Amino acid sequence: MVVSPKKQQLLNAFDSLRAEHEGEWLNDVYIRPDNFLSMAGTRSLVVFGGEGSGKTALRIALQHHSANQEDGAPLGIRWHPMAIHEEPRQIVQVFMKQMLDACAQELLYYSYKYPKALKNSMPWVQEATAWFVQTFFSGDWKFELERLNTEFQGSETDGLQALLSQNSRSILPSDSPSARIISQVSSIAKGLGIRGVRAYVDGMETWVDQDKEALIYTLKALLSTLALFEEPGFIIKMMVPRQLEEDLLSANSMIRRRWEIYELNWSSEQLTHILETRAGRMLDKASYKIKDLYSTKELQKWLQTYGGTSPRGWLELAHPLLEFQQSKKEILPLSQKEFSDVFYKYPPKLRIDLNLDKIYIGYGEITDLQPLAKKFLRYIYTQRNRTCSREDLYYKAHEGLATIPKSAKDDNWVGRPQWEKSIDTALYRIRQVIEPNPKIPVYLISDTGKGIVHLNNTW
Amino acid sequence: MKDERVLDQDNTTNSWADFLGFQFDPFKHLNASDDPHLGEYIVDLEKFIGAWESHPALIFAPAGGGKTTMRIYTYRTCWVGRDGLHPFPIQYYLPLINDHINWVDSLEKDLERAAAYALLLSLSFRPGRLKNVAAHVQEKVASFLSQSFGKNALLFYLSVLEQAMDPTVLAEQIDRAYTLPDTPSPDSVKDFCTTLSSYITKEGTKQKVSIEEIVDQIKNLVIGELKFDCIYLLIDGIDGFADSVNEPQKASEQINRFLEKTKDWAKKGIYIKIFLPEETEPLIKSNWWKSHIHWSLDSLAKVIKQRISVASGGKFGSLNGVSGPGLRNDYIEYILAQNVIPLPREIIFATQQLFKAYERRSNGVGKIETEDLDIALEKYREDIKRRHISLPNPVYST
Repeated sequence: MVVSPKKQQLLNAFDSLRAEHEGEWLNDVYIRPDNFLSMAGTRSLVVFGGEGSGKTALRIALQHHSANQEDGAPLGIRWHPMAIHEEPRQIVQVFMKQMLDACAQELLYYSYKYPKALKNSMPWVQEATAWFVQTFFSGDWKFELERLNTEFQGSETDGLQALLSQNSRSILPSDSPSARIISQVSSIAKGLGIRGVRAYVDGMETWVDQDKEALIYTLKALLSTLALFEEPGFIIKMMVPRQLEEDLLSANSMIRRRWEIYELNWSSEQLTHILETRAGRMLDKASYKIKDLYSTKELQKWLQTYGGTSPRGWLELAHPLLEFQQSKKEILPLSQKEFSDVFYKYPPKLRIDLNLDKIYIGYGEITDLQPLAKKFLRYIYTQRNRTCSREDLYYKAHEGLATIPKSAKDDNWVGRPQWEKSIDTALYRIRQVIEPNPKIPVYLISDTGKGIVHLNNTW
Repeated sequence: MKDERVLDQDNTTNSWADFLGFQFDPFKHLNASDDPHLGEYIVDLEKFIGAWESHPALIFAPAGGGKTTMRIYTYRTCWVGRDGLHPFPIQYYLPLINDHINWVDSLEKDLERAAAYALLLSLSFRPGRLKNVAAHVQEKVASFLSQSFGKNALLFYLSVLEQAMDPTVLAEQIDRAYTLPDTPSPDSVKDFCTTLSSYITKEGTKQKVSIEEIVDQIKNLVIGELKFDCIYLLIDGIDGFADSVNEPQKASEQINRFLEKTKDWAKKGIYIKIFLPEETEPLIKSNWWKSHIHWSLDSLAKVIKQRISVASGGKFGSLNGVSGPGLRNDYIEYILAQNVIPLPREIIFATQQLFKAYERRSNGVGKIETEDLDIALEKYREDIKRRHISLPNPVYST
């Protein structure tokens, strides 16, 4: 495929699909999920979303929405959760320390970005801000002040360094309860004309893979600490992988409605809209419809099958199609042959979650396999670095033997005619379910005449 | 794409309240401490008379069952509309972030600090109580506050009061549960600050004292000098901690240790009122007066009716007063009560949905109709389904 550099650059935007790397333009193409405005409200919340469902994009959109309200923006801080192997009390302490450090950093930055806010505030607010920064900034606050002074050099920022460096009185004892410190932060924010504090918690996927139990324990400790959710000026917005939903919903504060719960789900219509909006923006078209790419019905069906309900899934799948389309001299919807060619060249990958016993192609879950067929597919997947013979499938996958009996003299040997047909039937059924065209398999490939199979296009 | 109206708890204009002629939205706040009208619509008060008498008390309630509401109400009841002899309430928060595993290990410091915050905040809302005592008593108050907070922190708090001229600002910084209605005049707040500041001359030396010495000091100051009737120590939030919330055994051990240590305080006029999760009741060893907050259909319905009555200035006594013909013969509060988890916050949440459905549908025309109730209950069911909670015996009938 030959694509112009400009268009390639644009298409690369479909490559990343990690909201945190996508920059400002994401705001222009972001499609809001249901209940977005409710999520953007003034209550703490947890949003559960599957992989690729757009949790980070949502977090960014919520931040952007908050920052652009007519009645002023809140102080937005980020917390990247980690698995903390401590007692719950210590977990909360660690969380508070990190949150307060983030608040101190943001207050400093805010003071320099909007110098009049601090300069025009009441003396107690100035003193409290100085105290808070000096007490809770975990790095060298003097160094940070110097840095900000240099970055924001100008007459408007004159005097800020002195205000923030002042010897402030110790306003709260160091062992004050978290509720009191949170109230103090909210009051400072209010005194500066800031509409409260919003803490955004995101980026848990890594920990889910590495140490899920510890992450659950950490989050439960936080969600059970009601003091964190009782200050109206301090709001936590937490984006959580769906795998943690069942465990977290037993947290005490759930029954008390200290925080709202949302699920990040997308309908086919919304996913289509996401794709069309992004493609249109990328291709500089005021209006781009899915039919401009390929037959709407076919393409939607294909996207639903392999993209699941995930925006990332749909966009990843659409990328090679768009790239191919843009490489043609005349930009027309793809023909059936062209679509098929692109699919076979860039098929969505097959993946099996061996822990959860779930099969995916792309982001779509495969649920129609009979137990025996599923068992064989699992086995072939675990051996995907090599080929598997029918004997492998019968003796090892089905019978659970460590080795294949060599002859009738061996224990557990069963004559081939007694099982060969069932193996072939199971393989046939696998192809019927997973292959877009069983006659031209993409995933489960047989080496003709050799009686062996292997998997292609897997993760 | 569906796009719902913001569930904005801080929205200062509430269209449905305006449409229906209410003075304010009585269902705006799910958190008791945020509701300035809380004291006007507490239900079944007669059951809790014991909580306001001069003896220690244990009040048990389910999670979300109103412990904080009762605690805040008890605090405000001591102050609102009362002059002269009345109890002095101290709100005591159990320590979370410290190195102590046993709460009683930090009791001296925590009690002293709790009393200091109570004195500072309560008296700032009622500065006349300080103004009308003798100079030596004023000095003792200042000295106690200075000893507890440290001179510099106290001066900072006084500077906040002086600059803001409104004790609500200081209460929001420290503990909004101390907010009282009828804020004093700016001049009286200024006088209060000037009076206290004049006695703060040097940093006091903090000596290590025993809990009994702290208790005596507080008793002598509050009861002896300031002439309050007695002291109520209001303790709440035991199930607000990660390490005790699912372990009533652990929480009960802490509580029993605390009760043992404080068992003689009543003789000094300090009455502990402790609000406890009901799971701990079988494990608490005490013969103190006990009460249980339990929510029947009647009491849940009263939660709504009293709010309606207060917010409408007495114009309406129930939701029927603001309902259209389709609902006029139904006891809407009871329908709601039958279809929610039996807790006040749940029925308030469901009622919020009712009014939001009404607002979206009617745009100010007409009254609440059947479809609003249908939507409210559906929203409620969706919400508890999201929370993976089962309604014990779901019933829906109009």
